Amino acid sequence: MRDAHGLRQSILAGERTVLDVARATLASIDERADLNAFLPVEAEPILERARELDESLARGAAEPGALFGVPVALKANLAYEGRELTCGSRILSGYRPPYTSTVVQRLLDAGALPIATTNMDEFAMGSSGENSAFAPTLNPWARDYTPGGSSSGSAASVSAGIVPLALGSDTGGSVRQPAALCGVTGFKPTFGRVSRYGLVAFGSSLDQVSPFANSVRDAELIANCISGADPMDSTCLEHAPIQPVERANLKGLRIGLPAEAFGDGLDASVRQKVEAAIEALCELGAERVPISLPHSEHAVATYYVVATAEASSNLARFDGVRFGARQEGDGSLAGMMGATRADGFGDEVKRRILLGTHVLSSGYYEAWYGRAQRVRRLIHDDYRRAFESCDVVICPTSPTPAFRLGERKADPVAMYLSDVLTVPASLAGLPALSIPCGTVSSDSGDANLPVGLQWIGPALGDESLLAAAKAFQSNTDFHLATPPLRREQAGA
Amino acid sequence: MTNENTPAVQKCAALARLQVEPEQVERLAEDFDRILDAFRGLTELDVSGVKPMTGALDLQDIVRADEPRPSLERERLLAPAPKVEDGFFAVPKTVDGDA
Repeated sequence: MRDAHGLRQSILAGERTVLDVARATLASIDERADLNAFLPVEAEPILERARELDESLARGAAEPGALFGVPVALKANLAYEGRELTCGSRILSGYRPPYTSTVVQRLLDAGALPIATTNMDEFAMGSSGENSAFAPTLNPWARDYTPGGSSSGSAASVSAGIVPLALGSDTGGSVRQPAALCGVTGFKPTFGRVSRYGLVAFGSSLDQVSPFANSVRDAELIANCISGADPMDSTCLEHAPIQPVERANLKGLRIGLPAEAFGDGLDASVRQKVEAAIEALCELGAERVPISLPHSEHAVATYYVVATAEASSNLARFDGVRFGARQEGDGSLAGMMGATRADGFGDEVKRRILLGTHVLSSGYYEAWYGRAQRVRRLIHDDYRRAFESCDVVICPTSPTPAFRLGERKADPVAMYLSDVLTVPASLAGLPALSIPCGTVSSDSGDANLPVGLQWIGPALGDESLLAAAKAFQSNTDFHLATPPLRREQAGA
Repeated sequence: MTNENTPAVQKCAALARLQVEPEQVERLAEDFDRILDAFRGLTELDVSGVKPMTGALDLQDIVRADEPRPSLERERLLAPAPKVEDGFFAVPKTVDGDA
């Protein structure tokens, strides 16, 4: 199941029921349990929802919603009343939220079939999926490789064809980077265009709920459903939902190519695929504009100071009082909290809480956090200047294709540098998407791995960004490539 | 040899209410070394006169009518808590003396 538009049409045409779709999805989740893309999924509520949708269609009750009958996998940090919500962490084992996030409510309103939940790096902290407290997600293209992160399970579930759509959250690239590494489309809207009510907070000035799909057209469909003002989120913009806009061709599109993103750190095979895609863009009428984003070399440091500072504050709520597991410790209040957090959080989450506490602490605040906020503005202003001469910034999404499981896990700095090309747009709050642009052979020649092409637009330019990327996909077939079937299946 | 970041890690662990075992402290102090060293360029940049950017948006105040509306029931909010007493979240005793 790869095409959300087509799936909805086939249900409305009576070719299959929503219950058929629900059963097929659950079977496919079981079949691909090897990927660890999903955390335990409860089948009965999904089947029940499917039956309700079939009945409403039979009754002709109302105009079927834009996502009628379409399964949408949910990252394990989006609240859906009554469904276990762990954020990939042991500290929230067994937690069932008493309310539903705005984005999941909007999916329900559009007739979708939400599937809870997908695996993720604990509290969205990671770039490989390996920081999940439960199991690492595997890359459907090559199971010895990571799918990227932190929305590892959502990316893998769309890439493997288990679901046509999934939601993740993108704080510093947590949707775009795994989309690139898994060969699917990932779209981060402008900060503030999608409500975060019911998204478990990590970095509040950066977090954005963002979809995965197999095409820009499908990503736009779900973005249209989930975006728009929300009285429950004061950081959500008053703008109308993201509207589908068509663009006949790419003639005259000015594509800004930032010199800094094509520097020495870029893998040669990734460079070659991205340059070929840029060539294809130009053949379709786009015009190259050399640009410079001079402060992007400081983006990783700026991002990790800002994001860890915000995380240290946001994660204070996990203290064994209101939800999740509790450890009694020495029996005092502080002892209970300290023991609960020591037992419940994994290594990377602890590292980031401590780092964030450090950069906010007296004596270090101005040197680190205050400074990072200033450099953030310089990074933001670089883009503002760049968009005076171009319509869209084009660069790789990740400097390398997927890396091997375990390769960067022991080295936090190497893992943080995986995000070097996605964090600048996050800091600037800009809309950005990653689409496939071909595959490359792994170093050892044992696998073909996807490469992602990143498109970054000016603030609130979501519609024109999607329109241009749609025009590109309607003239190319990179996005139609799918991972090889599982070995056992292929041999069967 | 004790790492120069060891006291910082211990102080932050106390501030963050995070119990850290002694052997973890040393490892985390080494991580601090490597991470902060990799971020050093940030501290060398000239940022004089640059206004801090506190968020990705220039938000404006929005005012709505202050009208009562339904909220979650107490039982549903308390249901996920590890310990509840008489309709309240229960925590270990924090002050000495007779109750």
